[in-house]
Amino acid sequence: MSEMQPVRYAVVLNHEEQYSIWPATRDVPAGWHAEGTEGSKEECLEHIDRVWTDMRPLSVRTVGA
Amino acid sequence: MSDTSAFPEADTTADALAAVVGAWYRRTLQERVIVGCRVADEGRTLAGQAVFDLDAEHTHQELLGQATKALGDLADAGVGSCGGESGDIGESVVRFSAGAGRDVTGAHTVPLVELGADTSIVVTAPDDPAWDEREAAAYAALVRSVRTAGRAAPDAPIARLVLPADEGPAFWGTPQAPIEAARIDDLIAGHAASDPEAVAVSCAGQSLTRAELDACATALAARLQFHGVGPDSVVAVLMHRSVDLIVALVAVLKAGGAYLALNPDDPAARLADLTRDAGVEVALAQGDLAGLVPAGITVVGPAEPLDQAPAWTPPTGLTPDHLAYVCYTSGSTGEPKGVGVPHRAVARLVRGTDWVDIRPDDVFLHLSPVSFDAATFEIFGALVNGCRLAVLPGGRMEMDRLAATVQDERVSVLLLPTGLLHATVSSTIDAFTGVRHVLTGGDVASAEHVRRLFEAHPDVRFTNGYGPTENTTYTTCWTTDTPPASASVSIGGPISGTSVAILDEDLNPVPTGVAGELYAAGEGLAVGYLGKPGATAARFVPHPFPSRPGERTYRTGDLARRRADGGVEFIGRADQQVKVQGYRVELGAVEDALTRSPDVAVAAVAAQREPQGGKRLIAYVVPADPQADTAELVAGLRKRLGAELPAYMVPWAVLVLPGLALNRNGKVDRRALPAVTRQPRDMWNEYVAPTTDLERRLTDLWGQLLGIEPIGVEDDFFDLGGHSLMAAELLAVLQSDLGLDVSARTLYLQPTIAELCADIEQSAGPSD
Repeated sequence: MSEMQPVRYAVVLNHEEQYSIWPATRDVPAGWHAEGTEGSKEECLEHIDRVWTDMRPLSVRTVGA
Repeated sequence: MSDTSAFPEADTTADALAAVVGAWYRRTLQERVIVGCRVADEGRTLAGQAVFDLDAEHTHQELLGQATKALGDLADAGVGSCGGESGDIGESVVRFSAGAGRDVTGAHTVPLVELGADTSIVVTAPDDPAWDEREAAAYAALVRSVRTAGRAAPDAPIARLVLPADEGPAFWGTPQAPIEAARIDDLIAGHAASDPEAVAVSCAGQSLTRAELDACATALAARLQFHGVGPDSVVAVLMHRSVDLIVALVAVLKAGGAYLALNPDDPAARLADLTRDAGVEVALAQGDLAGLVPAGITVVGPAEPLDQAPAWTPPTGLTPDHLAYVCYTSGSTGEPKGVGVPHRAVARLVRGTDWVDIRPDDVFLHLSPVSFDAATFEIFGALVNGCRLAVLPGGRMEMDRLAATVQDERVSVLLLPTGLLHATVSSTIDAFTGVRHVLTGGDVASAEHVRRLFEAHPDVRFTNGYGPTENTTYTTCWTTDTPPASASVSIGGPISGTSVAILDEDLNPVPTGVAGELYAAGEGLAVGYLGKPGATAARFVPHPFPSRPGERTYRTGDLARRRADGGVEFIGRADQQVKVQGYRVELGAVEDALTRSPDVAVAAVAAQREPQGGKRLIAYVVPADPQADTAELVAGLRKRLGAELPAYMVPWAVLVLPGLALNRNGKVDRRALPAVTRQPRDMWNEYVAPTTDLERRLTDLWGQLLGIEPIGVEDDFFDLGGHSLMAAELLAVLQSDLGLDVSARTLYLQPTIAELCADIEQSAGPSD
């Protein structure tokens, strides 16, 4: 099932600053926003590997801080 | 009767046949669909079988061509040829039954699709409890929608036809846990405060009250704190099953850290990889295992006197969203992935559950390795609910010892991994006496074994469950007070605190009865894969229909379909992952390990069913040097894999082939790989042939069980590849076929046929 046109993805993140990917042509679900990066799945995941340096949810990172 | 003929046009019949095949494919993803056909044709009834081979790229147009040809062949073959059931086909003029489940007795085991004169489609459910009226109605709807969608897009692959979704939300279940999340260590401390003298943990005569568990765990937490452990630290735990192990786990949580349980049997290279990957700086290790802790990690002994503990300052800022533990699974690229599980997810598994009714006087048994997430339910199901936790002492799994512990400890809630459940039912069914609730999971449960459990223990409650580590032990469960009526054991529907959906590749919901990928959401979700942002983002994706903003859902990689009754039916993996002895194994990871050897040009690894029902791995390698010595190559590869991979990932057999067949996509054609039923003996010791009758019968039996030939009478059962579940099977067969009562202990102490025979003859001696 891979002969279709390559799907373009957008890098997205939620209120906990957790990153993920979402088809670029579709509306982002509630509570998520686009980070600005778009590309193939691999490109988006590589980008996330670079920028998501602290994987703890924001609420855990900031507790007591 | 001109154009409204009672007989549908031939092409209408072909169209319906194509729809039946297409619908069956979308339901099962089976690439070979066999259809029993009965067609009325000019006053006579044609009956026969049509075989369709299709794949994900097959279009409705292609299928229609095959269907037309199949019907033509049927007409050529003439009246009432083989297959199908006999008798009048009644009002309808066409009957199809898709699927391989043909039944010669006349009872149909697959649904019967009838095409009415007005081209309406009617489905009759087969005599199988798994097919109730609603399931049959859903299947009829599927055949109709595949026909409609196929006509509308004849050149689109059937696999990708977008079918109208069910009414109602795509995800079903309750994503919110029944009780608000809390930290596990707080909940355990709460029980210690309310009834400090109740026994919390017991193991082989040793026990701790709740107050003692709390005091010991606090003292150890203080020492961990002294070594720098705090929120977000990962502490490695290398310990045998014991009271001290439970203290250690609670101590890590109290200190604010997450534990990573390591398996002492894993190769040193893997222990080093895992601790490096998880950023471990401190390890808790019992004396005899301390030597296995990789260099550079501070080792803390778990059992030092309480009064020598440093001052304890409870850490601040701890939340239920901090990690409780890290559990490693096999990753697709070969590198292991550490699943980080928060307290919230553990609480969702064990508090206020709607699938297991946990009572204060229950006793749980801890028997699974802590590196396995079944242990999460065993340990915290007990401690978080104020129940006593009985611990099966460490060491090899011996059936009679397991049975004795269950009885001595009066265990009432018992979770056995699927393989162990089957082995216990076969060999020691009395072990379940007094157990109120038996649970299983990890692999496909056998209905026959579950029925035998109910026959022997009619009052038992039984749960079969399914779930990836990333959604904390169980995702779906089927809990029952009566034996399964169908041929397979259901995995039920989403448990409390969980919702699931079946989605296609574009995240669109597929209708009931259609195969798709299973997604899970709710409070059981892991935080992600430690230190792997990209892998986490690929698997933990935005919930397309969120119940609260920003919600994530986990893409399981498992193929499943929704049943009309709200249950989930597991179909298989979307990738090359298999379960071996209950562990998830990526075939690609084993292939990678093989191809990293300079002696290997190409490698493929396949899973094959063991005669006892489990799976084993077979490796197929093409040597880099065609002249290479086969025996030497295989020995070298086994050694190499043994040093790199955990035992369950090392293939049972390695076959050297001159080349591997490729499919039309240029990938290794797995279906063309030869099966292996027996592999040659590969032992360091000399082969000694059996001489007595008993020895000969035992060598035959071992050969069948282990799949090895020949077996020498001085070969060690465990060196031959026997594991504890096979040992249980062996003892059960000795008892049933040869009338020999051999204890597990005898087998473990005398693991060769010569020794066993001597023992058997000696114990039989005096009575002769």
